[in-house]
Amino acid sequence: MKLTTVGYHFREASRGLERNGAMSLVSIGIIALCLLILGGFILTIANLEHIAADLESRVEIRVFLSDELKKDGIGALEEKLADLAGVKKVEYISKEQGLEKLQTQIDDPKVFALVKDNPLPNSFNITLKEPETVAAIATKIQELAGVTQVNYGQEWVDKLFSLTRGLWIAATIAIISLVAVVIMIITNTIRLAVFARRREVEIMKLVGATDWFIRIPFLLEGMLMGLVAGIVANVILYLLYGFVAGRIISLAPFLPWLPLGALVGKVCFAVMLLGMVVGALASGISIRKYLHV
Amino acid sequence: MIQMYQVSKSYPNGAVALRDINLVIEKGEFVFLVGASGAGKSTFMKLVIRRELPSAGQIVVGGKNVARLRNWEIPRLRRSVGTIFQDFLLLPNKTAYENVAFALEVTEASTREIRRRVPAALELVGLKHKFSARPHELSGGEQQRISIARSIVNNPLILLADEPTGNLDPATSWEIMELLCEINKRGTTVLMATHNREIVDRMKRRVIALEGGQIIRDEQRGVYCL
Repeated sequence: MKLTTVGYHFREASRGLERNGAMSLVSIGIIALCLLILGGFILTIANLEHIAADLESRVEIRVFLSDELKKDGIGALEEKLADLAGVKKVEYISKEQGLEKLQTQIDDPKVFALVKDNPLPNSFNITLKEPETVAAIATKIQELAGVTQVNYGQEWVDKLFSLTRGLWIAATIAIISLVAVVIMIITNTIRLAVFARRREVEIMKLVGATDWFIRIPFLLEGMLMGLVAGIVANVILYLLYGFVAGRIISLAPFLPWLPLGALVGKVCFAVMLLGMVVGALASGISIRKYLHV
Repeated sequence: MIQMYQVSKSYPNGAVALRDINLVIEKGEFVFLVGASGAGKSTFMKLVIRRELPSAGQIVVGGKNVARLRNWEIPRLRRSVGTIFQDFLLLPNKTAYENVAFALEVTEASTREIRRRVPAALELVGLKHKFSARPHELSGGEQQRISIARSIVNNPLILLADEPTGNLDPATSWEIMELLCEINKRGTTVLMATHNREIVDRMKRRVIALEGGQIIRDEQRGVYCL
């Protein structure tokens, strides 16, 4: 292809957008809206996932030890626990430490005045590499000698896991269908834009333009529309996320919301790329019909 | 320049548009194609530029067998055959100059070439001064002139004119005919489908009459009907 022709294609693409101004604006608006909804949805899901993952990471196992176990036995058990597959950290909490902790939690000296000697057992606090393995590891620990009781808040943890799994499945389905819908809407929008110019395509064929010569400006145009729509969607998404996240964080500061940083950038980039690729593809597909003259 | 051997064309719905057409049109001829609507004139034109494929027979245009062209060879055929139509088929949002330049741009001609040839073509059709007008700002006759300029700007061997005067008043029609004669004198073969009896009778050129998809008459210096 000659350089003149490359120039021609870019000129045609931008002129095409300009000449079909209203149509182009409507298309860009619709695509931007689609991308905005998709991006907003992905960010919401990402936040929920992030919160769920954070909650999961707080899952730990309390292991209570028999009082007969002396110092050597405790040390041996600690090593055994640390060697278990999936265990991240083992923290020893002695009777005394346990009582201290309890005292800071229940700030009422009267309660502790009733207690003559320390009723708490020695214990381990175990954090895990993968929170999902908690039930299996707890069972294994239960069988070890010197362990009297294992506690990991079974009911609560099970509920959390089924909730996050449900969330993950729902989010996957929703995002896939949303992407499909977005692709369909964009394709249809661009098909309308191409349909409006079928006469132009017919004339191009008549004067002896090759199919690719006709196609390239349309592809560029679709890509350009996707790009502009992507940028518009990104700006709105960025501002909106900053605004909404600010509000929500002040409402629920104890939850670990995602900051307006890397992830938002990634989502924005993906949204823009999707706009461009779908824009170009949709143009290519739409124009095929009118090339058979 | 155009040869047809036992060419027939029927459409998928069963309609037979052309039946056993045999003819030879020499280089530099000016030929009228006459006949009632539905006689097969438009199909004839479409076959020459390979907008349709013949159902049977061979068509040779400029030494190439049209039916055997590969898809990528079709654009080259169409560049060697200029076409003008009753409804002009100009791009409404391009200027006169751009509409003419368009036919050169698709051939990937250089900018210099375009700057040289487009004004020359516009001058030939007498519309050099209206180069920046859009089609809707021009009269029917002027629009047809622009479309003629577009059809000849890359020096085609053949000019196909499908009822070029169909939408024009008699005076304007004659201007267009004079233009076509001028182009013909420069060596381009002209094939014109028309209903206009007066033009055919006065021009005294070769006339091919179609009826029901068949050639019923083919005579040099002919008239519209006997």
